[in-house]
Amino acid sequence: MEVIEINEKEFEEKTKKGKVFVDCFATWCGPCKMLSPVIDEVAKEVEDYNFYKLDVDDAQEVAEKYGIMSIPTMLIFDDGKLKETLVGFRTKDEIKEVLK
Amino acid sequence: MYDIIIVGAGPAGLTAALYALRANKKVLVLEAKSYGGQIINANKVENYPGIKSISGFDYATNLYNQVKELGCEIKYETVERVEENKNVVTNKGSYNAKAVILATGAENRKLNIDKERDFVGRGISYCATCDANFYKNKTVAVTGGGNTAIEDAIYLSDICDKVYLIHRRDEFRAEKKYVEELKTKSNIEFVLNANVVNLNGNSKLESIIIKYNDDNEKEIKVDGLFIAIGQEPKNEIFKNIVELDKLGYIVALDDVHTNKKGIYVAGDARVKSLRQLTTAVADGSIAATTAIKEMEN
Repeated sequence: MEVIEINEKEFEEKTKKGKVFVDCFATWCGPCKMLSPVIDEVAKEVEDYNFYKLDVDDAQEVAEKYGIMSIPTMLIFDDGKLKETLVGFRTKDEIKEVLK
Repeated sequence: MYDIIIVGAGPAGLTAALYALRANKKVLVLEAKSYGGQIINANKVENYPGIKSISGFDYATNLYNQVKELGCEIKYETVERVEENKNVVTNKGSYNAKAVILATGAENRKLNIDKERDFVGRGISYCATCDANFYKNKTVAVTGGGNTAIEDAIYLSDICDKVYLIHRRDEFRAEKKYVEELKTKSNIEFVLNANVVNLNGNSKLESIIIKYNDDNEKEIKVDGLFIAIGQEPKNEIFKNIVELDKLGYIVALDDVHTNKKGIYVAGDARVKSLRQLTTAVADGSIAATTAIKEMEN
């Protein structure tokens, strides 16, 4: 599965059904840039999730709604319900463990 | 069997790899998280000789690509221990080498107060350049007195309504140039001779309690607290194999020798007077060349 970049307008639509993983990042954030290739790898190996990334600089409302105050933050949804929030860099294994 | 195993893929570890690879040695770098170490959090690096300005991420990525092009093998595994015979055991396997270079670096020092961990990403931050934008037009505090704390406070003052700078002394370890710049900001309030002792809030940080050195306490309402009180090493797993000082840094007999033959240390992980990019890469190059010289003798 590819990681697809979405914008704030698409956020609700994309997260309301099924298992969804959203990598909330910003273009200027070093640790986010480190995390991005890790998420690409996780997405290749985990099949039952849809993977998205969201530039939070252009998604203030989502950031506000989910209390995002640090990036990278990863949001994990199941049928629109927030199941888990991960803050900060994680390894591939750590993320896969959470998605199990 | 490797010639050299390097633990840690920060600037010190990758520089050691660079020198060892250029000497045609077989090298394995083991990294628990991502390459680059602490420098990836630096918005701008402007004190590395010969490079006027570069982001920490770009610097780390350039160095990473440089060693990858030389064929560097990097495994993302967590080292659990290093044994006498220079066997390195990770969460996934075990590797042997003629020499081991410990370049585990350091991480942000914690205040070690209640709720600190719970509020990470909910008001507590160790990286102003990463998180400042979430505090636009809000009130924040920075605690610390070194370059990072002062730079963070300057950076935040342009984004936030109000910034408190809390420091346990009334003098700063930071360079004068930074302190003078901070003093020109109108929305900065200095809170000196004081420590943060308590964090309040339900789902996120709402206020902090500070205690002055004369024991008076005060509550300050803040949306965020940026902790910049220095670094601490993570060498606990090596305490049975090499000597650590009481802060946990690896004791280096001269430049890069530990008290164990064939095990070297480079970068922030060791006892040293200045922890900077320049001294980390200097250590990395010395550790690799010293290790090579001594394994060939």
